[in-house]
Amino acid sequence: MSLLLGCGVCCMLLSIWAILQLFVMGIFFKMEVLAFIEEAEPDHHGYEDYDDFMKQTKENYQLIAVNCWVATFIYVITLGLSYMCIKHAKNKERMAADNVQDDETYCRSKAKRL
Amino acid sequence: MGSLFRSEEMTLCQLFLQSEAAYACVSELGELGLVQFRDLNPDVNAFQRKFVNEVRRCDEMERKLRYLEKEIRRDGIPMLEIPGEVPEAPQPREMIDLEATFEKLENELREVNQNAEALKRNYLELTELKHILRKTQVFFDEMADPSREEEQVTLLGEEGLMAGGQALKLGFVAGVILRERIPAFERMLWRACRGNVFLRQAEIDTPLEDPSSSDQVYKSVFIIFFQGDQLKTRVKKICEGFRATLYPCPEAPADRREMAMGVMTRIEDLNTVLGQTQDHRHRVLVAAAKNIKNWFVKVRKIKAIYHTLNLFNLDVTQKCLIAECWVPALDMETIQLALRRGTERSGSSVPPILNRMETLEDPPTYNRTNKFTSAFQNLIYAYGVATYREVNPAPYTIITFPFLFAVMFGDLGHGALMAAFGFWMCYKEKPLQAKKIDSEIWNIFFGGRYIVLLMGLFSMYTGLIYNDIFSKSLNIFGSSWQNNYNESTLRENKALQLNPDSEDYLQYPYAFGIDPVWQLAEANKIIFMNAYKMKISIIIGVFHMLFGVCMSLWNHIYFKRRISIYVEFIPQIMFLTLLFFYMVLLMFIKWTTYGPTPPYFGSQDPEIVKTSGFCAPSILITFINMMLFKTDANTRPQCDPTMFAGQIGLQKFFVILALMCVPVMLFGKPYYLMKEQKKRDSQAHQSMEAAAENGAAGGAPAPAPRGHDDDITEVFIHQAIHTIEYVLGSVSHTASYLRLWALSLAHAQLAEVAWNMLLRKGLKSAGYQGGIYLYVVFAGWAAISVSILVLMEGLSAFLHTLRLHWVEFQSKFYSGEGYLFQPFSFEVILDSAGQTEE
Repeated sequence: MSLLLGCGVCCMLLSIWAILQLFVMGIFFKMEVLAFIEEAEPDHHGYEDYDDFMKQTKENYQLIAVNCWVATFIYVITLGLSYMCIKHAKNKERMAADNVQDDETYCRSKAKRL
Repeated sequence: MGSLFRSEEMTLCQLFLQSEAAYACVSELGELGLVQFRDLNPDVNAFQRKFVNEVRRCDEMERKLRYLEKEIRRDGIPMLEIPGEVPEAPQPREMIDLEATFEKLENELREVNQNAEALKRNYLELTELKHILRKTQVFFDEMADPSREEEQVTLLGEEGLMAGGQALKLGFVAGVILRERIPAFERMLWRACRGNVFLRQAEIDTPLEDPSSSDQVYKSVFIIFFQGDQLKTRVKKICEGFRATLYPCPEAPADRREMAMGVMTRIEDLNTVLGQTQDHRHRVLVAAAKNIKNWFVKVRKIKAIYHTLNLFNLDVTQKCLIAECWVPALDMETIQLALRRGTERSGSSVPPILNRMETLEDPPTYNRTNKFTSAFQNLIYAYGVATYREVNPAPYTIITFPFLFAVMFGDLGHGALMAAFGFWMCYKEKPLQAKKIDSEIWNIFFGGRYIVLLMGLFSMYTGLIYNDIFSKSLNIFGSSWQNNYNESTLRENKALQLNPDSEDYLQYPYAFGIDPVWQLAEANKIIFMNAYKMKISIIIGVFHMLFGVCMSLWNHIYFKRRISIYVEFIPQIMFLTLLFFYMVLLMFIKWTTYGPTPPYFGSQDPEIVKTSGFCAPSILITFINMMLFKTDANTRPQCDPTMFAGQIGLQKFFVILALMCVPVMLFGKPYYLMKEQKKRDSQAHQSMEAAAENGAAGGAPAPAPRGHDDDITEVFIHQAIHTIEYVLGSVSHTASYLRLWALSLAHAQLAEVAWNMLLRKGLKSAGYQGGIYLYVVFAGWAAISVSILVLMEGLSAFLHTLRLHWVEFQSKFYSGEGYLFQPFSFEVILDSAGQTEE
């Protein structure tokens, strides 16, 4: 059971980090920030002249921004799923703990085993 | 007022306790946790001490409690933690009540367990009988039909039946055996009875529970037909050997049916009884589970008190117990109050007496720390406990440790992750502590939560200075570099340089930290950062070491070693300053003197060339030439050979002065000690002569000259080792600080590789599946970042910082030859008992 809880917590933390980082990176790509030039520039021989280079670079910036936001959205879904996983795992743990405390259910299950 | 500056003042005290009040007083002192008792009966065997009976009773109680705990754990019942306050040690008379309770519980539980086992055995027998009756029905049915197979009733053949007068009746035994044993059993029967017995077997489908081991085992029913008494005994013996249980099975089907019904009813009854037994056991255990932690604490406290009482001495009058203890001098009042409380509680009239004792022994080292400072103090203690009343490096470590870590780890993103982790641990401190998690790795991280938090925050700061967040830079204030090349130049050249001695550089630096453009400079980013980081490392290192040497001054002053100040501290400081602090100054001079002169970029005017970047000398070469008294040929004729006027002369002077410090360090102290000895010897002679003149009327001779415990060669050797260590160490330690540069370079490069090889592939992917691909790649990049860059690099930087503190910093002043103050404290005892239990 704690495996499900562990997975849930990991996914939740990863999703929160991913949402923050990818969203901000998407904005930066939209703003055509120079720090990301190496991600956006076309390959070494993939362009003919200066104007083509600039055009491709600008296009790439926009495309990557969209990529980032799409990934952000998928991580939002993952966040929701992980939250539900954690809730489910906690519920199960609580019910198992209650079961042990309750004399009747405990002894009934024990007698059945014999 | 106690402080972290140096360890607390301790006094050795003698404690006189009246025997009736002793228990209560020791209980109060245990709650307080400020007193370290000494063992006054070291040669007495554990079995001959005064309170050995009480300790034995406590051990017995603990054994019973452990048995109860094992049973509770076996049933999976949760044991409640103690709500509210930890209970106090109970009075001695309460011990009898506790013993009675535990005895009762243990007996009850053992009885229930025994009954349950007997019942289960019974149940097993009945179940096996039930299976036998069912399966043998099949055998007898087949037997009843004579026209079936040959190997049936007429085992002896028709002749046997017809020949003898009487019909030969076949006997049989029925039983149950473990399935695994059947092949061997069959073989043995065949061989022993020479094939004259007939075995039929059928498997029991459901596994049965073995009562003693609670395992589920598979068994088979068998029935053996034989003729004659001899075979019967033989078969019975073989069954015994294979531990098969035999059951009486009636021949007639009607009898069998009746028996089957009887068995069924008995099984039902037994089930009910078993259920009720388990129920009762569970109730007993649940009731016990509510109190068991409480009881454990009480019993452990009683045991601890009696162990401590065993350390005391009994007074001649047998009415009073004497104890010797180390006590922090500032806490005498608190201890007196505790003792008074104890005597009041026990109803005794005689107040306890706490006496100070004079002693020449070394007291233990005690530092009063809180949850924040204790982590840093433990880092220092891990290397060596401070000598009594020595200057404590811990308060400075609170800042220098995270700072040096951050210089090696500087990344805003990774620092933020570490700070978030540390913040969560500190914020959720109380609930996490209450959980008492077992894992040792977790306990290490949790114990250092404040260190982790500080390291993360400082790393965020140095990340901003290095302008590095996950290997990308942030352009917050606008870069100070601009591109002035025209389009054709850009198109034709693969790589171009921006010259700071031109309009390319705006002549004022980026407002905070490294300019963001450097992250994009593939070709010479590393060369530039190397120059910067190496100089910073040496500057930080020299300051750290100078600070360490200054700490030794405080030690010399406190321990009144005035001569050490003159022959050790002053030469040490001079050596370090004249050589390495001078090098630091050279770095600052180089930074400020050489650079572009704004209106006259690239001018050839000799005056301007002399202060341009072209003429900046190499600090390392300058330093090496300084030490070797060498001058290189000037390869750049437009430049001055020196940085400032009189540099060569000044450097020669510094080196000679520094070298003169070495013999002072080497011979100063031994020479002074030799002089002192001669003076003492001559004084002793004089006083002895004076005593002889006065007519020594049976007076004792003058006190022998104290102190020259080691002869003079040992002092020389000791001092030589110290000097060589310091002199050579100053060179090697200064270079050792370059690890600050090396690790930060490694971290930056690893982060860059992770981004370029992983995340860039995800970002560049095209089309609609690009987003999904990025989703997957980001998870991988995040995993690599956390595991390699935060965890592995973090541990590595932590280790190197620790080494820098322990070796480079502390070797300048720390002797670390003390022993730790370990007070008698219930908290400590309960914690360690709880841990060993798990």
